[in-house]
Amino acid sequence: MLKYVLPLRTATDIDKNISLDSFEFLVCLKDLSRFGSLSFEQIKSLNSNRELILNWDILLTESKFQISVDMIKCLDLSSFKSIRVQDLGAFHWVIHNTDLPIELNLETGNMNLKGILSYLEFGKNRVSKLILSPQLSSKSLSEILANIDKKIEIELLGFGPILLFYSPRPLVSRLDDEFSDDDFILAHSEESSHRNFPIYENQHGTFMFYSKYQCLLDETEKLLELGVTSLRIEIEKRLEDQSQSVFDVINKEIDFQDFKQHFKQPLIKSFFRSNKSDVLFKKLKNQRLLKNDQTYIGEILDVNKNKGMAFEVKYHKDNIQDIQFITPEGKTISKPLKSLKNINFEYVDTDSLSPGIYIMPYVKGCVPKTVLLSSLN
Amino acid sequence: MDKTVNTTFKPELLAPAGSLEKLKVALSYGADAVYLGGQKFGLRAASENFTIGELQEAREFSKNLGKHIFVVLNGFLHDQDLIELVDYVKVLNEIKVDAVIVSDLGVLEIVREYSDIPVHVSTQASVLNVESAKFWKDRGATRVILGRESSIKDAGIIKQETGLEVELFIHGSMCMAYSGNCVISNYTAGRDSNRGGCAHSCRFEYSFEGNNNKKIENSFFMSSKDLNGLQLIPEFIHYEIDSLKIEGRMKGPLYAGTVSKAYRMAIDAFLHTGDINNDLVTQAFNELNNFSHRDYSQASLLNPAGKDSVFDKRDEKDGTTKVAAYVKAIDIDTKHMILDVRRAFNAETNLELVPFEGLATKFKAKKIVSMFNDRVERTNPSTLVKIPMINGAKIGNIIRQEELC
Repeated sequence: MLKYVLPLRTATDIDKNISLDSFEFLVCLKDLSRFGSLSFEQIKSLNSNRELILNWDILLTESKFQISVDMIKCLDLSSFKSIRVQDLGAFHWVIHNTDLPIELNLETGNMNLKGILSYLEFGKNRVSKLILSPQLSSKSLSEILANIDKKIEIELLGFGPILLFYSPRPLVSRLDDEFSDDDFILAHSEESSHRNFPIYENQHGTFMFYSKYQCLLDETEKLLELGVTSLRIEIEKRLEDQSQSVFDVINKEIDFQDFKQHFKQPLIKSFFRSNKSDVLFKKLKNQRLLKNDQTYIGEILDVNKNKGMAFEVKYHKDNIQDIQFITPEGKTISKPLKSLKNINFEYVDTDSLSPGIYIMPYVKGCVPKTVLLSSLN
Repeated sequence: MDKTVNTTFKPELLAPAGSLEKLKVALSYGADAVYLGGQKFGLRAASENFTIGELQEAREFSKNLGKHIFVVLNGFLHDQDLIELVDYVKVLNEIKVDAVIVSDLGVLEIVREYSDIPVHVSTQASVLNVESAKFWKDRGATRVILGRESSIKDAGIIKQETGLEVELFIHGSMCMAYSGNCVISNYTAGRDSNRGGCAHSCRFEYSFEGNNNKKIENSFFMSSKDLNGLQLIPEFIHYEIDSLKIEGRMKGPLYAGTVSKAYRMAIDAFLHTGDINNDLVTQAFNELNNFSHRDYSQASLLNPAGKDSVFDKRDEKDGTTKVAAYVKAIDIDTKHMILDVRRAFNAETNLELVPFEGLATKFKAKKIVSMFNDRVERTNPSTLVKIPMINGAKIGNIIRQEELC
C-alpha cells in the first residue's frame, strides 16, 4: 500500500492535518525549508507519535550553511523519523554529524541508475528513502527501481504544483514592494502562449511553478508495481479550499474523473508516460551543415561567378577525387576536383591538400558557407 | 581587503570555445584554457560544437601553446544517453583532453570507470558550500566550478577547507535560477534545459496578476544582468581562486577574443603593479563595452545579488565596435593580408587591428582588392579581400570598426 507524505508548513497546517491517518508529515521550518513558516516553538507542540520528517531542502551558500547547521544542532532530532535533504552539502553533513536516517531528494536531475546507485553507496546504508524526479518516465522508473534495494523507500510527487524555477534573488518584491511571504502572483508569458505561472517569494528566494498540477493519483496500482512506495501531496495555500477533495480521492471517497473535472488547476502526469524532451534538439541546428570528420574538407569563403571560388581546407586531406558541395539550403552538387590554385594563383597538386585557402573554378549553385565534403570511397 | 597587496598567485583564465575558430581566437588572445562541447552530452545543443577530428586539432593547438582544453559533459543524462557516453569518454581519454566538466553523478562514475581524465564539477551541480565540495571530492572530482551564488570569499573558504581547485565565473551571461534548478523549457517548450535545450524563457517579458488585484507593470523580471568581475581581480587573487571563467560558448569570436584579452591584460597588469586602478586595467574595462551586452553587475561575487541585479529590458547595449574582418592569411611575399570580411567597409574607413597582445593599431585599408585581384570600392560580408599588410598582424587577428551611430 502506498504511503502519503504531506508537508506541514504553517501552524494552520498542523491544526488541520496532523490527525490525518495514513500520512507521514514533512515538517517545514521557516529557516530550513523552501516554503516553511514554522518556528521552533510551533514544532515543539507536534505529536511525537506521528511520523515526522525534518525537511532541510533549501540550497545553501557557505554562510547560510553554517547558520542552518547551528539551527539543526538546537533541534531535538529524536522527534523525527528521518531528515530530508537536497543540497549535497546537507547530505554530506547529515551523514557525518547525525544518526538520523536520510531521505535524499533527487528531484533535480539525477535521471540515471548509475548516479542514483552512487549516491546510495556514498550514503552507506543511511539513506532510507529516495525522492525521484517527476521527469522520469514509467519505463525509466521501472528500470531504475528494479535495481535498487527494496529496503529503500521511493517517493514521487503524487499531487501538487511542479516547481519550474528556484532563484535566491528577490524578483517579485522589486515589482511590488508590499509583496509578502503569504502572497503570490500569476505570471503570463508575453512571448508564448503560456500563462498562469504561480510565483512566490520569501527569505529563500523566488519560486515559479508550472500552470498545471502534477497528478498521479489515478496511477497508484501501476506505481506500486513499479516499486514506488510513497506519494507526496502538496497543495498551494491559494488552493487550500480544494484540499479535502484531494484527500477524498486518496481515500477513494470520490470518483477521480469527477475530481479531475472540478479541481481548479489543470492536471498532468508530467513525463510519466514518456520523456521525449531531447527529440527537438536536431531542429536546433542546420543538419545539412553538420560536420563529419571522415568527409569534411572545409567551406567556401568567396564566390566570383566569372573567376572562381575561394575555399578553406580545414584539415589535411589526401587523394580527393570528387567533391560534394552542400549549400546552406541543402542542395547537393558533385564535381570532380581538378585545376586547384593557391592564393597566388599557382597550380597545386590535388593529391594532398594542407589546411589553407585555395581557389577552384566556379560551380553553379555554390555560395559562401557551402560545405565541401570528399566522397567516401 | 588591501587591494595593493602583491602576490605570486596567478589564476587560470578560462574562456569559452563554441567552435574551433573561437578556440583559436580565445587562446591566441590570452586565455590559459578553454572549455568546449562535443556533439552531445553538453548544455548547448544549438551550438556548433566539436567533432572528434576538431577535438584532436583543438588538443594539438592548445598543447603547442602550453594551454588546456576542458570538455563539457554537463548534461543531466538519462540512462539511454549513458550507453553512447562510454565510447565517447574512451575517445576523450585517447585524445588526452585535460579535464571533463560534469554535473551528473552517473556521468562522473562513467568517466572514472573508463578513463583517467580529471573531473571538474560543473556549476550546473550548484556546489555552494564546503560540505558539498567534500561530497564531490569523495566521488573523485579534482575541481569544483561553484554556483554563481557563491561569493569570492566563500570560494576561498571552500578551497581552503577541501583542498580542491575552485573555479568561479568572472564574466558573462548568468542564469537567474540556481543552475540545474530551472526546468521551464522542459514543460513549456518540450526541450530539456538540462540536456542542452534551454529556450531562455527567463529572458522573456511577462505580465502579471496579483492576488490583491494590484496593477503590476510588465517586466523581464527573471532576466539577469551580465556578470563583470574585472574590478574584483584583487579579491580573486587574494583568495587564490584557481580558475576565472568567462561564460559564452554561443557568442562570436569578437566576444571570445575581446573578453579573453581584456581579462588577460587586467590580471597581468594587477599582478605586475599590485594596483587595480592602473591605466591598463581601465583600458581592459573599457574593452568590455566593445561588444553588445546587458548591463553589467558583480552579481554575488561580493554580496548576494539583489533587486538591482535584474536586467528589466529586452535589448542589450550595442557595442561600440563591430567586427569588420578576421585576418585569414598573410602573404609575406606580396606583403598583403587576406581578410574574411564580416562587415562592409571601404578604403578610407577607420579600422583597428587588435593584436594578440598590446594596444590596437588604428589604420585605413587604403587599397582593397578582391581575392581575384579586382579592385573593390566597398567590401561585402562573406567575401575575401586583400589589403596591404599591417605591422604586427597575425593570422586570427580581429579587425574591428567603430560603430557609426
